[in-house]
Amino acid sequence: MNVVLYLGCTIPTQEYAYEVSAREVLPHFGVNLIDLQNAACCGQPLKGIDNLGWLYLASRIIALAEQQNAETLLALCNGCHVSICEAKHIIESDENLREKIAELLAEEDLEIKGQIRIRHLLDFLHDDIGPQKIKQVLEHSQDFKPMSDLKLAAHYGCHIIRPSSIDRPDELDDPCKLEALIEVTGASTAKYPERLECCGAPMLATVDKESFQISGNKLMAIQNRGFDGVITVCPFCERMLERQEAISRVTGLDVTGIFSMYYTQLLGLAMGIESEQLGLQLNMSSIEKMLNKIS
Amino acid sequence: MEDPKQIVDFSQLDLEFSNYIKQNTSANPLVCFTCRTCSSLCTSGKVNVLNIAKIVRQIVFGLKDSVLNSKEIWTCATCMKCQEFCPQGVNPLDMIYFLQNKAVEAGTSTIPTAYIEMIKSIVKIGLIQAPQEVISADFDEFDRDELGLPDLSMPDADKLKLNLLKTGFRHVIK
Repeated sequence: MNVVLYLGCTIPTQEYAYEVSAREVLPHFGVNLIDLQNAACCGQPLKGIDNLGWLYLASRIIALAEQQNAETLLALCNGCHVSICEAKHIIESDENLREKIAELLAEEDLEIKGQIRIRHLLDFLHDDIGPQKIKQVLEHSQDFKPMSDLKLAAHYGCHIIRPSSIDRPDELDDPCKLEALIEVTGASTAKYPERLECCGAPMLATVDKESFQISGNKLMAIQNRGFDGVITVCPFCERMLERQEAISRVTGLDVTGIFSMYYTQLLGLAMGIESEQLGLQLNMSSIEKMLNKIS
Repeated sequence: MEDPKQIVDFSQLDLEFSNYIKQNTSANPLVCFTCRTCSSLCTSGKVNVLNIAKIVRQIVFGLKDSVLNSKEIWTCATCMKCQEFCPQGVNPLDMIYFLQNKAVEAGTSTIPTAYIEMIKSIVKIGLIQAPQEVISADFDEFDRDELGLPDLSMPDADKLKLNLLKTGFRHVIK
């Protein structure tokens, strides 16, 4: 299965662990990743600066992917995914903005035809590949290491389930795909009351202390409910939830009893892939205890 | 975040601004019946930063300038809960984005530096930041190359800049 991979800004410039683990793990499921060429920012963090500027940046990603004749565009970041999906919706429904964007894109010899499927890692793994296929690959893997000693909390992130006015990878009120994917690895999971709370990342640019308070509150709740760790599918969420030291320093909350990591890393560990090949040496949360527990 | 005792100058009220928002966005502050569902769910409100219900009321009241100049409108976590659960379809998040756009257009000094830096980087290399060296838990430094990651395909930033200058980004790109 050929998919065009769009990494956005944060993953290829800082959150390398997500990219490393995705590139390591996905080919085992018959996925051929083709990098999106000439990609720039998706515009999402700068929606507040100007709506048209954002829409141009987001639409540009769709046009670039179509230029590469991609059938499926895969985003790993929740922010990129919502940005591109909202842009697609506007291009399809607002004639005035569609024309303005077409003019801008024409300057780069780009156009939007509108035939592309936009996927996030979550619905790509759950809907396109499917838990059954993942289970088969795991069980046929020589080094299969069931994560049965771990109880893991799912952290979806806001932009993957909202807004409900456009198609999102999972349900607004009661998403379940990440839990299903966690269970495939042999780990146990449970729905918890704070599950759909925000990580606080977008507030980091303006009110950092309060931003850490939000991620700290969420981590504290997860820790108090007896989870070993939390699993994420977004570079902004992961970066917030890994910063346990900053959270403890700023808020006084001791959240060092749990770890946070990307789903692609969990899947890789279950396949028996070495932690360094999954970028886990870059993890800033209390990952050591977990690695000892599963080894 | 603002001086709570600021005195309203009635001659400065913009009574048409709510209508203007209604006409130009999917947001409509005029239909708010102050149930405060937005505030009760607001991520930023939980840590006493953003009072979204207050902003909606300030806009309906005509306090356009004081809202556009406030730092508060930049503290939204964009979690979209207000938007999802408002029983009246006020769409507070779309209103916040619009207010931020208008603050940029007006050249207010409250635009967060972080966003200005991101735009500077976009017009230079296309991304909000250049690839960083990161430090592992054992204090080893890593870049893309050392992690075996392929070279990044960068866009033609000059073309990107020319296009962005035709949008509201021009107010920030100097």
